Amino acid sequence: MSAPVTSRLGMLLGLAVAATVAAWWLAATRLALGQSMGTAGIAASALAGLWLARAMLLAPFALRAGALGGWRLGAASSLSMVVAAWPVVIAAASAGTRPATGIVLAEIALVIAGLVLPVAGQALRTLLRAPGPAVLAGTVLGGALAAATWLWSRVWTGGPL
Amino acid sequence: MLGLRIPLLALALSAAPGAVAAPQVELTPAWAGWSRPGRVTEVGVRVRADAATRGTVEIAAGREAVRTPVELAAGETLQLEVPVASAALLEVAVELDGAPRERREQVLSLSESPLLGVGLANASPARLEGFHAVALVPADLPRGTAAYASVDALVLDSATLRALESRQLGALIGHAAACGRIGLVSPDPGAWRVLESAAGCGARMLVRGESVEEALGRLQDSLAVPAATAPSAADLAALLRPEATTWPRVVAVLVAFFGIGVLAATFTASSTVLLLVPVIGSGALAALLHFWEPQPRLVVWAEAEPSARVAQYQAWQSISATARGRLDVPVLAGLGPPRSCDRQRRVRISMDADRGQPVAADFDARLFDHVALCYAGNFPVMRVVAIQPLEGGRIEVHNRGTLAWPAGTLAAGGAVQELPALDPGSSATLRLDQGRPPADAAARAALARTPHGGYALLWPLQLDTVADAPADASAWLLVPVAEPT
Repeated sequence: MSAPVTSRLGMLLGLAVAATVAAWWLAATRLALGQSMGTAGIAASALAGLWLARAMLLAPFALRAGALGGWRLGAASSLSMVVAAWPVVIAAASAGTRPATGIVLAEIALVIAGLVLPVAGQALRTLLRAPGPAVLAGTVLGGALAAATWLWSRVWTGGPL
Repeated sequence: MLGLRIPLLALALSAAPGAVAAPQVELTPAWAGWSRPGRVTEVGVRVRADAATRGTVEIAAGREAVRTPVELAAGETLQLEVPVASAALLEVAVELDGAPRERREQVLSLSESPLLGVGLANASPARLEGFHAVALVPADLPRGTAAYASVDALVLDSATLRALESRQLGALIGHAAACGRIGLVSPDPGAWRVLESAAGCGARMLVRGESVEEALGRLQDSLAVPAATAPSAADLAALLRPEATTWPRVVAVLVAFFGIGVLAATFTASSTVLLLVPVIGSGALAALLHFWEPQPRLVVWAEAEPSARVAQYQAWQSISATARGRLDVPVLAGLGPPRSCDRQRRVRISMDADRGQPVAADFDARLFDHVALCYAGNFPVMRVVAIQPLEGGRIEVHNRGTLAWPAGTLAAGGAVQELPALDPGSSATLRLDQGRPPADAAARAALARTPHGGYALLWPLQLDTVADAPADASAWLLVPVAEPT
C-alpha cells in the first residue's frame, strides 16, 4: 500500500465510522424528539460507540500502517482516522450529559494510541526484518488489542453500549 | 525586612473593602407557613444592612431557585415578596458586598389534605369536611395571586378584608378571577361587588353568608360544582409538540462536513490537510452550536364559559437548546409568574426587586434539549354564545353579546368547520354533517377539549399585551358549550 493510499484510507475509515454513528444517533434523536423523550442517553451511547469503534479499528490499522510505511506515515493516517470523527464527538458531547473531562481524556487516549501504535508497528518491522511478516504480526496483535478493547469496553466507556 | 512589611500591611489594609456587618434577615411565609406539595406559595423577605451595599437574595425551594439582585441604602429595610415553589424547606441566602453570607431556613408545613384558609377576626372555629383548616391573620395572606395556589378554599370576614393591604386585595381579586373558591362572611357591599364582578367561572366559586356557618355551608355546597379543569399539556399535545428546529441544522452541518472530508480525501493525500479538515470542522461546529440563536415558541390557550366575563389561560413558552450549558429564557411580561413546566427540572428564576417581577429563568440545557416555562392567568373576555340545534342536523350559533366575533372554528361531533365572523345579535346556521377532520394542531386541541356531545368555538387571539412575544407565537380562545343554550 502506498503512502497516499494509507493517508486517505485513515481519513476515509474515520469518516465512515463517524458517518455511521452520526446517522444512527441523529435518526434515534429525531425519533426521541418526536416522542418527546430525552436525547441525552442516545448521545451517550453514540459517544461510547464512536469511541469503541475507532479504538477497535485503530489497533490493527495503526500497527499495520507503522509496519508498512514507518511510524510517521502510520501516525499521520491513524490520527486522520481519529480526528475525522471529532465533529460528531463535539455534537454528541453537546447533546449529552457525560462530563466533558471524561470525553476529552478518552479522545486524548485515542490520539496517544494513534501515535504509539505506529511506532510499535515500525518496531515489529525492524524486529522481523521484512514487511510481510511484520504486517501479519501487526494484524494479529492489533486484532488481539481490538478484542481486548471490546471485552473491556464496559470499563473504558463507563457503561453498556 | 520589617521596615518593608509594615508599609505593605498598611497598603493591604487600605485596599481592603469596608467591612459590612452581617445583614438582618427576616422571613415571613404566606399562609402561616402552610402549603401543599407541588403548589406555589410566597415568602416575604426583609433585609436590613447598616451600610449602603448591594448583593443578591436567593431562595432555593426544591429544584427551583429565585434570585433577586438587591441594592440597600444604609439602615434601609428592603422588603421582597417572592413567589416560590412549595417545598418542605426553603433555604434563603443573602450575599451582600463586604458582608458575610447570611443563611436562613424556613420550614413549610405541606398538607396532603386540601387546605382551608380561615381569616376570621374573632378567631371562631371553621371546618369544612375533608379540609385542613389553617387560621390566618391578615398579614398571612399573600401579595401575589400565584401564592393562592397553596389553599383550596378560603373563608374571610369583613374585618379581615378591611385589614388587607392594596396588594393583598389585588391578589385576592386575581384569585377570584382565577375561579378560586372563596367564602365571605358578611362582606361589605362594595367589596362583594368588586369581587363578584371580577370572579371567574360565572362567580360560582365565590359565595357569601351572613354568618360563618352560612358561608361555610355555601362553600361546602360549592364543592359539588366541579371546578373548571385547566387544560394540561397532554390535552394540548398536538399544539405543544416541540418543533425540531435544531435537528435539521445539525444534520446539514454534519452532512456538509462529511462531504468536505470525502472531497479532501479524494483530491489530496497531504497529511496536514487531512488532519486540518476535521479539526477546523470541529471548531466551526462548536462555534455554530454556541452562536445559534435558540428559537423560542409561545402557545397560549385560553378557555371561557359561554357567557363568562373572564377567560382562564395557560401559556407554554418553549425553547429548543442548541448547546450544552446555561440557557437563559427571558420571562414574557404580561403572562404572570412563570414556573418550569417540568417540575423535576432545576431552574433559577431572576427577579427584578424594583418591579417585583421575574425577568429571566435559566436552565442547564444541552443540544436538542427542550425547556419550557409555564404561565397561567386570566383576562376579561366577552363571548356570549348561544347554540340552538335545528332540524336536519343543523345548529344555529348566535352571538348574544355586544361585541363582534372574528371568524373562527366550530368543533362538534369529532369534526371541525369554519365559523363566520358574527356581529352582535347575529347568528349563523351550520350543518354538522359538513364538518371535516381537523387540519391543524389547534383544531385537534379544540376537539380534544370539546365536551362529549357538546360543541366548542375556537378563535385565534392577538398577543398585543405580551411584550417580546416570539414572532410565531400563537394564542387561542376556546369556548366549550356543553349543551344547547
